[in-house]
Amino acid sequence: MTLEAEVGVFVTGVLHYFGSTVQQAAQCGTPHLALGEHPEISDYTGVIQISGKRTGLVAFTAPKSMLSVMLMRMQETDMSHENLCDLVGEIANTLSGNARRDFGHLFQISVPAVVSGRGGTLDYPAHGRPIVIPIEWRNYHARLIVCLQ
Amino acid sequence: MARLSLNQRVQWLPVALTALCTAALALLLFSGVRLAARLQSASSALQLASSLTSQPQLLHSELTLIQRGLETQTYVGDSLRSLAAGRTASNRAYAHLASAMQDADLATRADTAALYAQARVHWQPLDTGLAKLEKTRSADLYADTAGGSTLTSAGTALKRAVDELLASQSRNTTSLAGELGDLAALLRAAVVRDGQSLRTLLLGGAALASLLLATMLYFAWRAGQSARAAGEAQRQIGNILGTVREGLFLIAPDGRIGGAHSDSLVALLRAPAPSGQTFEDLLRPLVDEKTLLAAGKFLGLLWKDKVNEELIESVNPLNQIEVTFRKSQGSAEQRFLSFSFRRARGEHATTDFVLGVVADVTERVLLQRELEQLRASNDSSSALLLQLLQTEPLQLQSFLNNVEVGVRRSNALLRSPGIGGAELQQKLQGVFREMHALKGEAAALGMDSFVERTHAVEELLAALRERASLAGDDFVPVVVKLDELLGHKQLIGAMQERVDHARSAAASADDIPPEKHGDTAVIATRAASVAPAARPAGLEQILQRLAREVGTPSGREARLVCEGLERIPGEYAATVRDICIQMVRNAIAHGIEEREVRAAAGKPPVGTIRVRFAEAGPQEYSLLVEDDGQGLDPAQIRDRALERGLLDEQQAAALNQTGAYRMIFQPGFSTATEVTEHAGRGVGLDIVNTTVRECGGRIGISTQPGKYTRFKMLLPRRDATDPAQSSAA
Repeated sequence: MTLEAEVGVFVTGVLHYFGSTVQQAAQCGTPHLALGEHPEISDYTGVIQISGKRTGLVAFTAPKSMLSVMLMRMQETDMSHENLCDLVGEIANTLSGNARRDFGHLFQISVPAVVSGRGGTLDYPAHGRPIVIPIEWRNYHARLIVCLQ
Repeated sequence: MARLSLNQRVQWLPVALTALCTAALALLLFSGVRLAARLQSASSALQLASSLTSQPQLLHSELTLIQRGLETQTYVGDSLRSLAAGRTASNRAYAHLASAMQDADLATRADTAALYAQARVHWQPLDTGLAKLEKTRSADLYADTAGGSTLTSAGTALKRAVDELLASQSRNTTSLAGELGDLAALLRAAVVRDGQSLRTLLLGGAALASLLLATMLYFAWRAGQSARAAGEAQRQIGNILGTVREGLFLIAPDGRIGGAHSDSLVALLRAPAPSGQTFEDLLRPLVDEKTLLAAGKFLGLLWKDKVNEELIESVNPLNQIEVTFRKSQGSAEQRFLSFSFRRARGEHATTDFVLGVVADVTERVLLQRELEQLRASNDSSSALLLQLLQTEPLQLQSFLNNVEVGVRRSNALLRSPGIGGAELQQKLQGVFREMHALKGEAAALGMDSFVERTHAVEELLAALRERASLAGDDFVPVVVKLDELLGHKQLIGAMQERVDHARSAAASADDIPPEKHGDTAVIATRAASVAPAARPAGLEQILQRLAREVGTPSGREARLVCEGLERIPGEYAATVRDICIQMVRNAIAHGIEEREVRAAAGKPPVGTIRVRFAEAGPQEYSLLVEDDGQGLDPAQIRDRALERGLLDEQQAAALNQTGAYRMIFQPGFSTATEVTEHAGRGVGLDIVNTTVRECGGRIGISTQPGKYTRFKMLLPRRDATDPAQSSAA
């Protein structure tokens, strides 16, 4: 499977999550490369690490406000930090599931991890250039970050 | 075929044997029944004959008793009744004996028939005599007198009759008894004989029944064994079909998939119930119409027994196909499947089924591709190194910087906000321009690896441009290609550094003994031999090279005449270079005709392209690019704009000559009929137009069909132009 197809799997996974679980479609902005510096992460970030045929990470990062509205749409009333972490972790888990399903034995995929806070850093591979895919949903801006080598 | 016939015979054998045994047994039973009936009749006859044998003696005794009774005037009524009963019984017995002998087939035998006839002959007078006696009443025999009882006349008559009967029938009775005795003996012998026959028959029947039972048991055992073997074979086939990774299936003459297929078929084709579907229906979601049609024709050939199977397989259109499976969540999965087919011949050596085998060869294909890429990469590494050595370092450095800038500008366009259709189209056109400019420069420098990569990005963008609607994620492959382009630029940069390092090392390596030079020194020596002077090449050389690169493959040759390029001011060096690259490439790809066409038009076979840079008064520079090619044809431009959907019919009809000339600067417009590395995208003049406008300049065109095309670009002098005015313009 080519890199573009692999990135496509993650993009489709995130969009499907919004369409099915949140029941309101999100739109994808034009992807671009993060050149020179690592992309900024938002309030909450769900990350899966990948090894095997390729090495790197896939992360979904979103602001607290967006995640809160998503929880409300999912009939959740608890907007606690833990619940927001759970939501972003669940999205990462969905991505992990998609990767396992579509890539099979070619990749080893870690258990999803959650990073909270904008100052956090992700463990990018040494010479990778992350691809940033903006995710637009109800005037909120999240990002899918894919960095595979 | 012979084995099948034998099998059929083996299947029919138990049936035939059982039928034969049953028929024989039925025949035996029928004969036995008949024999038993005859034996029964013979036994009856024997019993009757035996009873009749003693009858004459009994009658004789009774007659004697009557005679004595009459002599002593005693009561003889009982004897008379006994005689009558004996006679009646004897007559009935003779009748029954005749009937029994008839039933026992003894009536027609000479000996028994003769004895019976004689006995009847001897019985007849006795019977007649006895019949007469029966008329006498016992009460009328005696009369009581004073002297005692005396015979009456009836008594006297009876006595006379009895005396006569005893006298006349004495010898007759003996003969009758003898004859009946002989008859009884013959009948006994017949009974014994029939009894023996019946016993033999029963023994034969029992033997036959045993044989039948044994036969049936044997064949039941055989059938059990066959059933067990068939069950085991079925289980093994089930195991094979359940375990084998390939999809195995049979195609019937009507094109439908048979009921038995391997489990993998379902997973490989993502078809939950392939049985009963036609092969065409299974393929339809996986392949395009063209492949489907070819597959149908190919399968048609397989059913023609006269066509060589090996030859057919060599034209199998499904030998390796790339298929896309849509998943429930909307994602797609690319797989490579390989189908192969063999004929399954039947009893009459004709094709009964076609055995199909499908395998997922994705891993193999990807590995093969990776190996090819690796091999190509190894090959291209040498070519790249040679390319680097042949390219002047400053020129290369400049180009690499431009690549970096081009990719970053493209990335900035993509990064800019906006996901609407028009915004996405703008981003697409912007990236297209950047890539086309880079491709042009790469071609001018002979950097084929960059030409390939930028061309690949253009291919993606061209496909996106044709779409009715665009979404942000459509650009994912573009970004990946940009990343690859940037990675390639970094690789070339690193290689260039090593080459430079090797060159400088070689320059100061005169004192080092040859055996200590190592790889670096060898590279440096080669570099020195290939590029002895690291002198920067001028724009004229770049354009000369570009003219060769673009012209040679298309059979268009052009002589480049440059003038004033050395006077290009530093601030315009990059701009004029970019413009010239696009214009010269455009002139060759669209202006200069092929040698034969030029010769036919009375022109020199080699075309001429003039590039002249000059000052045009105190405010401007002029850049002129002119070719003596076919010129611009407004009608052709109009037609092509219509074809590409850049104009509708109404707009095309209203398009004047000036409008047509303006049209050639439109993004996406090209007069080329096919897309090549150097023409057909409709980007080159768009880049020129954008570049000139960004500088605040203008473009003029003059042309004469069949004669020439001249582009004149006026660029404002930076030192003489107010930047604010420039940008406003």
